[in-house]
Amino acid sequence: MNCTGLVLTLLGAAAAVTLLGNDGMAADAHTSTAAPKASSTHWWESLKGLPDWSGAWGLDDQSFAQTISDSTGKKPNDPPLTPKYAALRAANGAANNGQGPPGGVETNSVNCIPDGMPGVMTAPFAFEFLVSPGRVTILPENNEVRRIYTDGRAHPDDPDPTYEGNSIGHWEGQTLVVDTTGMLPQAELFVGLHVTEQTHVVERIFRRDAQTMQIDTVVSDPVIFTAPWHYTRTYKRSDAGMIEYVCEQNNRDRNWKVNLTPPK
Amino acid sequence: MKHASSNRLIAALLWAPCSVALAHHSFAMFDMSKTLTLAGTVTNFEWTNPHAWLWIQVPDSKGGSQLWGLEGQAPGELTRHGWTRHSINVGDKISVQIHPLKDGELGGSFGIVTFANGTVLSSGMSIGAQPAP
Repeated sequence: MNCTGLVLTLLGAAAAVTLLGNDGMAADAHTSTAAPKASSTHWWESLKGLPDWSGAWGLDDQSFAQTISDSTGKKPNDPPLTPKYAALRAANGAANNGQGPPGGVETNSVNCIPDGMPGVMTAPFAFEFLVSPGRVTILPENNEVRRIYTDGRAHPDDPDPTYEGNSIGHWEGQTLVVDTTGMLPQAELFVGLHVTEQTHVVERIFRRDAQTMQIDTVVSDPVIFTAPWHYTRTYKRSDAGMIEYVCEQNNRDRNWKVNLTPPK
Repeated sequence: MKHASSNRLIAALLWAPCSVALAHHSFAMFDMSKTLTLAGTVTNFEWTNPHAWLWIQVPDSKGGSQLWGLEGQAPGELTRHGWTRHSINVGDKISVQIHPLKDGELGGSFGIVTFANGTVLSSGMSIGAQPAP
């Protein structure tokens, strides 16, 4: 049997199991951290009535200008940083439009490390939003992956911290509400400032009109903020679709040492 | 194919002083307070991630020339601002506005490119300004 045949056989077997199976939703889905079983057509019918978010959605220029403003402290109390974090931002190489101390706080992406949550959502990339049963997947252009479980599970009690954190979500009409915790302290809040183990992110994601996705975000962290930080960012539908971004391809800026060796 | 803009003034206002090419980095490497205009001949245009790189040979006052390496935004960002990998070609005579490297090396971040025929390409990113319509 060739490879294709094997795959088809396995798919057929899986389909047979599916037909024989039951509806498969875990009875205690709201208290379990395990994924409910996915097996029947009912599962796919759960998508009925959910919005069409297909396409590629690029963070718009105005929203990215906000990211720069947040990172450089153009507006002193936005976000509302504690004195410690306000000092960190001021000391960052990002401060004062680059007039701060060179080589300040490292940013992740200069060395091709993921931004993580919530910073990746305000980087100037395009994003895909894939809606599937019990799950929404957000794919930023830079190859990070956000898996948002909408199957009723809770956050794990003690998740291993990750760049993207642990995300669970639910639908309120046409709006997806996402709750994210469990980020690594290496994940970025925005350019050059990192989250803590206490950072908690709540996003409300919806399609504002045919050409615009909107995300209203609240980030809470008693170490970083004096009050929860609320912000809105918008994303424009891009006819160009998703563009490949492989950071290692030609990174001439590693460790802040610009490589000016001309290409051959 | 070149993406034409009929309004150079707007393009210039959008870019300077700005933070082009900073999707991927902090801002420490470039002197954002300085904007230089270089004129020269394109020797290479790297349509690569995490940044496009534009290489131009710039005549100096002594009859020679110097090669400058200029960092731009990622292909994805540039594409969403109307660029393609064919927007700039080897041999093109251009002038380009840049923020130079702080360390004095012959490099910088590029923003607005003007071709000999007057065509203008802008990457469209700026701090605090309204985005291009």
